[in-house]
Amino acid sequence: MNYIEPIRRGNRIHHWRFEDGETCPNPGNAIELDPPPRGWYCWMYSKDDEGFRDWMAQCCPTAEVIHRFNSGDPMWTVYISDENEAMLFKLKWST
Amino acid sequence: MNITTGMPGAHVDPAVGAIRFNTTISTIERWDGHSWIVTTGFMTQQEMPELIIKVGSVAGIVYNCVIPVGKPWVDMFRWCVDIMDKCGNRNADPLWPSRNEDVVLHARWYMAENMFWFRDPEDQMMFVLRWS
Repeated sequence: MNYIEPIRRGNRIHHWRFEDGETCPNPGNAIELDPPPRGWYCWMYSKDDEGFRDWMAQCCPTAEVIHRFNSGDPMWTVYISDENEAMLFKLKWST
Repeated sequence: MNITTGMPGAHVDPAVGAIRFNTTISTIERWDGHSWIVTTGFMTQQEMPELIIKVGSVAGIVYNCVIPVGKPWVDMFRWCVDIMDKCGNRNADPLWPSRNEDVVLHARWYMAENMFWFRDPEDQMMFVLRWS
């Protein structure tokens, strides 16, 4: 296999943000008319996808976790609505 | 059949008359020696590329991609499953695109973003020979 760059796989959180469910992130945008649901959002690049999936199923059972191809840079999009689960997630993965 | 190549090295000027598919704005462009000129709408059916070959990467590994233009996607997908076993993005379905793609890293092949991605050049060549 040919490598074009070193594989930098690690547990990394990108774009961590909180939405209050009332504020529209881009006022005036013709597409995003409604504010997103209240909760915590992020992208997650995990070192161990299976391990991350299992941990989320166990510790954040109500979170929405979606694995995406992302143009060849696979990552997870995470939406957590429960405050306790969000705190647990932050403590575990945010380093 | 016309097979066109992408640009593995952007610093190397392609040959005059080379064709590429611009995936950003979905147009077919021709290199006139100085810049890429959009030719969509002006090409005849005979000039239209059927399989466009590109180079991509998945988690740092080079993948050999093919964009089929106006081809039977469902049949192609089933053929790949028959020949190369399961798709690397396990929920891939040409009829019902899934939100959760469930990607396995460094798989033998993927179907994503209007392309077939092959880890091995031999698989790409086999695909091109089968569908050209």
